[in-house]
Amino acid sequence: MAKMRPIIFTIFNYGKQKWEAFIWLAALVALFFMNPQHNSFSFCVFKWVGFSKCPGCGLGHAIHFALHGQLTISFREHFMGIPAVIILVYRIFIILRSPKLK
Amino acid sequence: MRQSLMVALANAEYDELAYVESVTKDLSDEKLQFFLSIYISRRKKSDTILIGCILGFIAAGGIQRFMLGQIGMGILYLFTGGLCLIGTIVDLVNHKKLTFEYNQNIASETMGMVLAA
Repeated sequence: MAKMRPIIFTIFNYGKQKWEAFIWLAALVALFFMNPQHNSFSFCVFKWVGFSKCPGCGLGHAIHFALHGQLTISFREHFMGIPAVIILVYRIFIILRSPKLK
Repeated sequence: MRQSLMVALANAEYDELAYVESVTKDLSDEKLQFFLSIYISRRKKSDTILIGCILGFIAAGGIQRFMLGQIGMGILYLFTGGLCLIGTIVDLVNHKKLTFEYNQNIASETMGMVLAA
């Protein structure tokens, strides 16, 4: 256990440094596996507070379909679905690529 | 830590101070002043980014990303209501870290300018 500690420490610190990349990565992975036909739970904060529609409606579905290659359905759900995947992947890449700053 | 550094960055968080100190530790006092005068103008304050995040709740999302030069992310936030407000909330909680990362890049760029001059 004591030998593992520095390894765990460095992994933990790496995660702390690049936290944002892992948030977007987790979101993309989660959206890849969340099938719109099986659940209708929404992460939309606007919807939680009572609005029935918001400018981001359908983005989750759109990203899901874009990640599965169904670009027409993706675009129909939300026009920013495909750009979202591109932009987020690029952002993840930028964060992970940048040299350790601290 | 050199006094000129502490005075110039009096309102900065300790993380930023420590980082700038480590980056500039080999500079002469004169070059340090040169560095600081450029860095002060180019760095962003976390308060500014905080206001950008709050504007995401009452106006348009993504303003904080535009301020940090992340145009792609800004456009994404703008057209999706700040990723259904979740992106805005995440950025709000982490605004200091976001600003710090931006300032770290600015510090490295400024060092490049100072060493090349």
